[in-house]
Amino acid sequence: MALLETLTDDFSAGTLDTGKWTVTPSAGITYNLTGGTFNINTAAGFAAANATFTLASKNAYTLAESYAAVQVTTPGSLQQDFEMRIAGSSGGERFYFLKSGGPGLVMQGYDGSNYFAQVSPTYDPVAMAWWRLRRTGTGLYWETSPDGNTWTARTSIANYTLKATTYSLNFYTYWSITSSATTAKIDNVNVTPPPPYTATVTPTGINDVQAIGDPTATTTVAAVNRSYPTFRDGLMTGDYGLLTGNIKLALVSGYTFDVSHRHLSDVLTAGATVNGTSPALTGPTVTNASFDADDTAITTAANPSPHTLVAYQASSPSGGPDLPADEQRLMWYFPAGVGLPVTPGAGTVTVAWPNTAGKIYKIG
Amino acid sequence: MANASFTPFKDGLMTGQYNLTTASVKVALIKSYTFNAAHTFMSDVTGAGAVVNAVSAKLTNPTVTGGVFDADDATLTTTSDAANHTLIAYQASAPAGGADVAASAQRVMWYFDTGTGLPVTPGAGTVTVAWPSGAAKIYKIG
Repeated sequence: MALLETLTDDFSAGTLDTGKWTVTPSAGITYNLTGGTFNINTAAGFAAANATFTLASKNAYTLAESYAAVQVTTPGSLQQDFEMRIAGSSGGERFYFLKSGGPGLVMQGYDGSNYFAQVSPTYDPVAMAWWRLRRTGTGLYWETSPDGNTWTARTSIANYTLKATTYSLNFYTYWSITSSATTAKIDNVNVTPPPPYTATVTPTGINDVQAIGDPTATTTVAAVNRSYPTFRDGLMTGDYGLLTGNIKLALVSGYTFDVSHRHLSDVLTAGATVNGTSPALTGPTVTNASFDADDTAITTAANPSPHTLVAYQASSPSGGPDLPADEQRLMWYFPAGVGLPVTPGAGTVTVAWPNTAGKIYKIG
Repeated sequence: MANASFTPFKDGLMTGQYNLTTASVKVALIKSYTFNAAHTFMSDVTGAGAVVNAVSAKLTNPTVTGGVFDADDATLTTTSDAANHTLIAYQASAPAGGADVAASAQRVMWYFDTGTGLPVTPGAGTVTVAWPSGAAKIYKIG
């Protein structure tokens, strides 16, 4: 017997997969798969009190160590009940999520004699966009999620002996009173999205060794990560305010470091493509000639090219709104560090600054 | 010791407290001073016991290129003093220039006790400060 979670459907086929489902509509109720969702519709003036509509799994499944999940795009109107029901093959046993005309989302079980684990938190169409009933060990868990990835347990029973041997999955709609036009939509039965992409990179900090008026002095340029000479000039001419300016990071591809580059527009003109930028770095500090700031995150699009980081002052030194790219002064180029270069997916690249003595940038 | 920059100077570079091309950058010839990296203003230096023998005019033709600061050589009109003297550079005005500010607002930059002729025991006359012509010039970052 197949596990319940193996019943999957994202309703993208345009027509109902009758190998998986059966429908039982009352008169006046129609359904379609327009828009890639399963839609249950009534027309304006629909007057079918006590009408029902059921989308039921055609086959029976095993619930042990399995689950049923669904994305409820909209549970319909106040005139109807909408329910996901995992029904036992015998004895009336069932576990369900029920959105009725009231404000709550009812979650509970029924063992054939008694109801249990009942809760009814206020329905939140965002936070409770996904519903999942899960059987793990001897427990039953009713969970909701905003995205199909992060689940919040709403109620549970730790020790429950399943009464039936097989179970079906049902989406059940019930109109108790005369209704206006309504549509209930569900999607992604047991098709949860992959977790969002995340990566963390830790650039190696830059230490610009200084040389002071000594003819024998030598200079050292940081191994790979480096500052722009134009930045170092700008430090000496008051063109940067690392505590007050908006310091941002751009995740770029197709870029070769050039010592003559001064503004972000130079980077772009040289062929770099910006995948994503961070917000202004928070918590900036300048202490003992070292600059540090809070870790930051960049929302990224998937791209198979290697990407590196460019730091720049997005605003004027004293802060305020961001300037055009041809006035945004470059600071540092970070091609090296843990996780760098990075090949981003669609998600988040977290930039975790080094905790070494030089932090992000140090003079001397 | 070697020539050194003051830590608040390096901090100040990153926070827009200096502008070496517009401000009045001067050099003072001092004695009785022990370098303290934490000193921020000229008043800290004199407060620590330093005695100023002479001060240069604003350095002329300052340039900042490729992370390197340079300027014309400077001269200081000195009084005779048998003690060893060293040099300290500081921003005498606001970053944007203008009149000199009070010593308690004049930000120190570099301390020079090493180089040809340093320390110097000045006579009554002139001490010329000829900046090095090496790649690092007066000051270089990176």
